[in-house]
Amino acid sequence: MMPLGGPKPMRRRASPIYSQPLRGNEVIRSSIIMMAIYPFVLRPLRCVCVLIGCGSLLAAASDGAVDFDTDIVPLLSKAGCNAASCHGSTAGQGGFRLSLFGGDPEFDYRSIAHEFAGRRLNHVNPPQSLLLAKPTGRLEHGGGEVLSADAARVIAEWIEAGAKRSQLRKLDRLVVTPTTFAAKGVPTSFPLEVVAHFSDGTTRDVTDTALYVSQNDAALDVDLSGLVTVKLAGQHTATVRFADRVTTVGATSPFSPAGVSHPKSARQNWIDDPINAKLVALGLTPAGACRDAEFVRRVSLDLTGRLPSPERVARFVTNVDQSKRTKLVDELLASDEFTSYWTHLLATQLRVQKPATDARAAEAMDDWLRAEVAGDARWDEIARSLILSEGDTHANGAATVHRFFATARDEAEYMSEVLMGVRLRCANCHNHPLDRWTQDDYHGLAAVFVGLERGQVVRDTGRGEITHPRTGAAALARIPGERFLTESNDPRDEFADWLVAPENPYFAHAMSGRVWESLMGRGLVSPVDDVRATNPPSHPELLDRLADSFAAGDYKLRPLIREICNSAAYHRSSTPLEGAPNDDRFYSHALAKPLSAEVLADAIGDVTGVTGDYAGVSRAIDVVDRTVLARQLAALGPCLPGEACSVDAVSQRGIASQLHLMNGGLINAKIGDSNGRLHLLIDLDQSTADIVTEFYLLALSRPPTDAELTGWIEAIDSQDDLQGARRTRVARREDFLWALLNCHEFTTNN
Amino acid sequence: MPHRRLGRRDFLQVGGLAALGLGLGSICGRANATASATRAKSCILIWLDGGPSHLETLDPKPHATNEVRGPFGAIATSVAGIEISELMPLTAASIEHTAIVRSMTSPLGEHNFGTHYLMTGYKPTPALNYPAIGSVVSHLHRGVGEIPSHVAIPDLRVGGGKFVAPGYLSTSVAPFEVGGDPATAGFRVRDLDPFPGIVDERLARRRSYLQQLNGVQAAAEVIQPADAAFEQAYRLMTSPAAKRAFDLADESDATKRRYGGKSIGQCCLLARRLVEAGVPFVTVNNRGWDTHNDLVTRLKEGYSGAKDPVGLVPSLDLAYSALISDLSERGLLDETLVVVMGEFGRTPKLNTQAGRDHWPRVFSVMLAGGGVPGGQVIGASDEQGESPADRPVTPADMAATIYKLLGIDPATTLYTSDGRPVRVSSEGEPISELVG
Repeated sequence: MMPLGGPKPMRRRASPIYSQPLRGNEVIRSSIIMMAIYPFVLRPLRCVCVLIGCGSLLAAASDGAVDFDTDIVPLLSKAGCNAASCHGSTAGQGGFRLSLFGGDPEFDYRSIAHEFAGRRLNHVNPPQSLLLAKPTGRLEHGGGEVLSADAARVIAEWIEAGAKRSQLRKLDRLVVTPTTFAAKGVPTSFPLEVVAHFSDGTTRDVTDTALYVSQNDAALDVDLSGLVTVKLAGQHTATVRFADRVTTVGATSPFSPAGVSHPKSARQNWIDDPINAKLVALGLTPAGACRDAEFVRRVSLDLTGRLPSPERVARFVTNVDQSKRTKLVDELLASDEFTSYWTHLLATQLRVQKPATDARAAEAMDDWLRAEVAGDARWDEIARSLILSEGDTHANGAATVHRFFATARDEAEYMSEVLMGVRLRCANCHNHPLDRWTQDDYHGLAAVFVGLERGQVVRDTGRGEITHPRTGAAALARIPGERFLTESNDPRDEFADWLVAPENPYFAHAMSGRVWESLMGRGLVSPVDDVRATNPPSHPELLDRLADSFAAGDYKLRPLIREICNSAAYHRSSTPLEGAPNDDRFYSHALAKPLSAEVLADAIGDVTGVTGDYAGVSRAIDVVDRTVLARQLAALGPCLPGEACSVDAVSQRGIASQLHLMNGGLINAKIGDSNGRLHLLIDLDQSTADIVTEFYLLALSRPPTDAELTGWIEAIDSQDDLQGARRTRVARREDFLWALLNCHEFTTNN
Repeated sequence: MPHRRLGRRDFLQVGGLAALGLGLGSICGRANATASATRAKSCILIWLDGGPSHLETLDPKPHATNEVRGPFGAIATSVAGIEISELMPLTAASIEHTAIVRSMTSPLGEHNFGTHYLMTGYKPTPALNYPAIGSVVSHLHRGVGEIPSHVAIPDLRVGGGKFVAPGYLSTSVAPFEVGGDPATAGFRVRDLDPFPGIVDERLARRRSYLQQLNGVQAAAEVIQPADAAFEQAYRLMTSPAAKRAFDLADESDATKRRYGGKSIGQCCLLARRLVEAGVPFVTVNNRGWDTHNDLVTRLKEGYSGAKDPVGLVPSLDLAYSALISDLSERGLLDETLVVVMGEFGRTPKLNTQAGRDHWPRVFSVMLAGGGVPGGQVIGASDEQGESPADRPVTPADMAATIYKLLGIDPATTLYTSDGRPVRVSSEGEPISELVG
């Protein structure tokens, strides 16, 4: 354990890290507390809370200075009293309401000490207080007997001393030791130590009073006393909560204990260092580099949203230049196709949509975005424009963004999700239970945008207010998590300045994380727009370095994309090594990325030689009005207007989609088109071998193997029906093309 | 020793096995020691999207002040002491089949949140998407039958459209959405009929070609949830029995009229056909219940310009009573659970537009068939229809009840894709009056 500064914690743990089989009751106890404090996930029957001990509190109490915020509230949290299933619910329980997880001690104090004229407390005989008589089982209590005698005694002392909220100290820091732990095998247990550092200079070991929640009980257990048990190989996380702070502890255990040796090719640039370090820690051997043909297909789809032409593939494969992959990346980054595709990706991320029926405003926004991408504009400048733009949305496209929303609250949620990668939404109704966000932050950010008039001409009226639901008064404009804004300045200016400042911990992380997800198939934080203390990145150091690199490169997208595409991690084969563990997040092999509906539709058009028609636009990625795509590409699961879409969302092609792909016009009409590629080849009397080879090259960027080719010739040309031979063969060739356009190798970017 | 990390599929299999052992005994028709009373093989959920007014349907307050009572009165039913809205005379006449729960209560008064809670039995959380009851049933029942085991008519766009029915389960348990309104002339299930020129022989050939191509890829262990969906779609499009089940042309005009010409009626008729064909879970999604204004038009009279001006409640009354009596006549009522609910109730006091706003604190649900003892009212709201006066029942309790009636142990453990165990239902207690 790390030495701690300041006064010594009152209780030291003697036990070194040890490994032993799990005791049954530990599992049960920890799962009970999991349920008690994490009711949204696994709620017990009614209010099951837990009996607790609180050695550290007793010590605090003996000092004669029991503090409401830092002693009493954590005690109520540990007992589960303020969980959402109990008194922390928005409606309270049995007429008694506490703030969720003690997020608002002022509210809790009012509830306990003042509500109903203070009838919950008995100052003459503290143990007779309702606050104590119920949870200790002396009066009937729906939640049962949840407070230990020790805890009850501390509360009684506090009442005895006048039940004041004197705010003796504030919690400055919560230090958890260790924050990460590498087990050598499973099961392995290790103790946590949680130390609270207070504003009055005191520190206290709060290991027994803190709350622990594993994100995956099956893989990681934390018992009431902070003993962590790693049960499965991999990387796992638990959250630690005390008072109003929440942090995480991570543990890894290798999939295979033997040392992993990495070939030299496993490192191409700095991106590979943290990736490889994690692979070594987890005992995962990376797959080798993908073949040239795979690489050209992969990088073309990622950077331009298009399949490479067979000519380009052939040129690339036969090129003997050692640096041809790097050069290809540069060539694609400089292409117009890159601008089109990344405009589409950014428009998806920014949820560009038509405000009501105003198509011109949406087109103006798309034009603006396209020009920014073409000119390699800085992302911080793009973000500034989004926040600050005003004026006629037919001329100033960036201002259209303000018209996506009916209310300033919606806009605040959008800005935090799209530009910061965080979800403030929970803090609308209560302080965010899993992060630092408070209702002040949520309604304060809404107040930043409240003055906007959202018509065709967007302007700041300087009027309007957001009602804070707790106080009923107007919410003060606020930089989330930081400070209230003075009235003298335009709050949007201040928000924009704060957001894009190099020291902002969210802005560069959010965008570099999205670019990473787009290229690598999984976000370092997943979901990518849910950055929070309790959802740590799989590779924190890598995310920091990507963000630093992005900021240092003037927030330009192309250099960041170039770095990622030149890493060994990006170059890996998508075929895992024989017998490798199933890895979906450590990048030991490339993840197969399902093609988005738009890219897939365009690819189908390119392969069949029949272009699309989306209200006059021939490529789906160039369509601005997504309602057109929603209608025409429903079977492929397009990103709907106004919705946040993720990599996951596009792979949800269910039964109705499959019916459409088989029976609908999307593919059938293109396959059967007499001017389409297949029928032109048939008309030219091409052999089955030629046809199969051509479509393999177009669709999969590789020729068929000998076995595949022989198989297709056999399947298509063998005639058992001489009468209808020609017709049958046409049908079989069409069916071959149908299958090719539906197979995994085609519909994913491998 | 190397540990192989379990993948999504492994967990799904584990989950499936656990479920087969723990929960599905009775659905599969095997003896089940713990669920002796289970009779329901199928469930029809009639979802009233938007949040139906309890005061204008199952929990009228005829003696309250005007602003609470609203524009309609109450009528007696076939069971003494039970009164329901005067807009539901057909349901009232056969209330002996129906149990009404009048003390439903939830804290969630927003469509999306309320829908999630009622549809899954879990309050929504950003941490985990829970599956709809229908998707859980489908998950425990998968791989059986030619028709998908979870069908939504016409679709499952509920709660404002953001509800993801499979939750943490595989996308293959998403409901099959028939995609059209059975009440429109020439109704066909979308894309069920083949593209011109694509005969059955070609469907089979395409499938075999596709398997050939994907077989090449199998070595890559790429996880493709689309496979299960493709196989189900294939069974559906090549099965004459499945196509027949979806074809309302088989029903006589008299039967069609019996259910009423509105969407909800023909959806219920199609639901009955699907249940007859062995589909374990059918959701009928009926929109328009978010009645913030003009209750008289919306709930009773219908819009005067409409071809057939009838409001929501009489349409429900006709469809529901026809469904119950039809199932009963066919001997299917005992093994078919019918549940009618929405995401919340409506405000006890009329608003200024003669409508009612969202009100989750108390609302009503009705159930019939599947062994539910009818002719009873469970719980009560207070005099204003404002709060539960007695026996509060949460959506979690309701979900546990539905699972229990379907022979699924609420304690059955399912697994998320990353291996986290989650109970089918962990927040509720089955309603003892209903599950016996």
